[in-house]
This record gives sequence, structure tokens and C-alpha cells, in this order.
Amino acid sequence: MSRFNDFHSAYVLHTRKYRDTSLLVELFSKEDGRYSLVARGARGNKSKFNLQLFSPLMVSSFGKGELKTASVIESNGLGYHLSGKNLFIGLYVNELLFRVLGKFDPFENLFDRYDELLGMLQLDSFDTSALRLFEISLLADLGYGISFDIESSTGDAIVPDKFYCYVVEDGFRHLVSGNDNSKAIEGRHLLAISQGMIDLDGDRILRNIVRKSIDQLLGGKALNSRKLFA
Amino acid sequence: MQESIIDELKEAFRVLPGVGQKTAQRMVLHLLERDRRGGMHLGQKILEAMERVGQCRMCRNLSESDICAICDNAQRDHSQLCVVESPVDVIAIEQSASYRGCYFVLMGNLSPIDGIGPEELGMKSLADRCESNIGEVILALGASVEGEATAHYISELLKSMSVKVTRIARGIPIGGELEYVDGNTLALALSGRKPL
Ligand SMILES: [Zn+2]
Repeated sequence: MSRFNDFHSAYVLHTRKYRDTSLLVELFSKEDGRYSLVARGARGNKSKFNLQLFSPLMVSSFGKGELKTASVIESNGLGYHLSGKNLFIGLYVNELLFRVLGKFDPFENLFDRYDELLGMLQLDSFDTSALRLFEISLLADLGYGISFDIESSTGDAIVPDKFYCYVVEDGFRHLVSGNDNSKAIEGRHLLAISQGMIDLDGDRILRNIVRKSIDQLLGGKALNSRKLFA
Repeated sequence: MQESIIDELKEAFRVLPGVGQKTAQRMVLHLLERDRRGGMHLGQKILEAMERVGQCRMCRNLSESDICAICDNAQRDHSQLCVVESPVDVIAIEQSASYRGCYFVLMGNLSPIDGIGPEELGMKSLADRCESNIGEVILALGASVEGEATAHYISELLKSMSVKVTRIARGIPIGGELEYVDGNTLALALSGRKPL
């Protein structure tokens, strides 16, 4: 753990009212991962804190316990302006990180990928495959990496015209009678994904796989932000 | 030591915003020493209000009756619906005396991490309401990311209906000088400009 009076690069994942004039801030920082801090007086009109979501921040805090107190929170570059459906995706990613990341567990690469994803979400032309790749790499960071080119029970290479099903925490299993199974995925889609090529089919397949894995990771408690996309 | 009723009352006062230990103690002692009748009255009114105040069936605002005074008022324009986050927003708009339509109170904003989704905000009843005789839905939500998300959700929800969805303008406060307005507000004010 780095020293807490140092400055951290961070994003706000969420804020909530705390006592009368303060906010409880859930942060995702580059140096110390996710943690919570109290921003005193942050709800007043003359608050010295900038707590916008999707804005890069520099944060320093103090306190010995798990809950820190903010001393300085200032912006560290232009914030990303997300709108429409991309804003929902941003809120989904924030909830995802909030729910799956343990406290004070740093993931520097993940932080950079999050920053990159926000940049892409700012564009109307955002391609959801970038979100899928972010989710897959997040799962890998958390120890739930998925091999898209190997059959999990035998270690054989995935074959383009064979059918497979996905088993969480295991991988892709060969299905003998694939055609009539609704969960069956054709090998060629998996091979395309393993090469980073995600078309519409790939996107749908990945969405299901990621969803299963995340549900498992969260012990079956669904992410609330999924309701935004219904 | 057994907890006395005085201590319990002090603790009870602390549910109020802005009331810490010291203030709670001052309030309790004031009622006990100087204003027993006021204390009785306060207790009674709190009980009554907690029991009798519910939510209006039409607009979800706090109301003693099934349908609140605004929704029940035939003088108001029932084809206009102003969507706000909380009852305090209704009070603010009513005080401005600039609006004669009706309201819909969400009682919050979309906030997935807090578990507040479309269902909690009554989106279904908002959509049902717009099925009949509503010409315009005015979104008067906060300028936060959550307010933005809520506004987008509502505009998508009502897209397929023949209702016009508008959003209140944002910009420079009356008497405000440009140099003191923050950059984001200024940008919104610029993008929302009107021909003179
Ligand atoms: Zn009403």
C-alpha cells in the first residue's frame, strides 16, 4: 500500500450522501485500487472538491482505518462527457468495478484500460466490442481468465466446425450433439474472438459468457445496472 | 445501567438531519424543562404525519389523500407533466409560480450502485400516465450524471409514444456574472442558446 498522504490518480465510481454536508466517495485509484473516503463539506455550494464521475482526479487523503478522509481532490485533466446509452454503459462499468474489486487491491493496467474505455465511450461511434474486451481482461485480472482457443477437458485446439458450451471457471467443452443445444457455440466464433475479431455473433456470445462469469463471481447477485438496458 | 427514557429520546432526535449529540440534548432538555405542551404537540403531530402521509397515486408526491391537491385541481393543465426528483423540487417550482401543469415525482435518480433502478422510480406508472392525454413531459432533473442518466432513460421510455419530451434549460443565474459561472454550466448555456 502506498502512503495515503501521497497523491493518487483516481476516478470516482460513486458518491453517496454522508452525514449532513459530506459525501462518501467510492474511488478507483491507480495506486491502491478501490477504496472509500469521506469528502467533508462536499455537499456545500463552496465545496473545494471536484467529484464528477468519469473525470480523472488527483486525490490525497489521511486516516489510519479503512475509511479515509479526503484532504485534496482536484481534477487531473478534462473529464469525459458520456451521454445516452454510452452513459448507461459507463454506469454499468462503475458498478461492475465497485462490486468485483476488493479494497486496496491495485490493478494499474486495469486503471489505464478503464481510462481508455471512457475515452471511447465519449464517441457516438462506440463499438461494444471494446466493452467486451474490457470485461474479458477484467475477468482475467481477477483470476477468471478464459481461453477461447482450447477445449478445457482435453486441452485440444478448438475446431472451427465443432460445437462447444461454456462452463464458468472451466472453459469451453466440446458438445457431441451441438446443433440442437441452445447453449452451443460454434468453434469458428471462438477462434475469431481469440484473435480479437468480434462481430455481432461474437459480441452476443461474449455478452453471455461474461454475464455468466460475473454472476458467478458475485454469488448470483445480479448487477443493478443491467436493468437500464432492458 | 439501564437506559433511561431521556437518553432514548435524545437518541431518537438524532434521526433528524443536522442533529448531533449536543443538539439532541438541548432539544430534549428544552422540552422537558420549559415546554411540555409543545413536546406533547410535537409528538402527536409526528405520529399523525407518519401514519397519514402517503404518496399520491397519480404523481407519487407526498400526500395525505389518495390523490394530491395538485393532481385533483381541475384548474391545472393536465396535459403537461413535469418530472422532478423529489418533493422539495415541487415546492421550489410551485413557489416560482411559473408553472400550471402537473407533476411526476421520481423520489430519486437512477443510481445502480445504490440499487435504485427504473422500478424504484416508478417508470412504469410514468409510462402508463403518458398513454393518456399527456402532450408534454418536462424533465426538470438535476445536472448530475445520475440526473442525465435518468433523463435519457425517460426519453427512451417515451420515444414510441406521441408525447413531446422537453428538458428545462440550464444556464446563468439571474444577476450572475459570466466570470463566476463554472465552465460546464457556461458550456451548457452556450449550447442551449436561443435566437432573440
Ligand atoms: Zn399528485
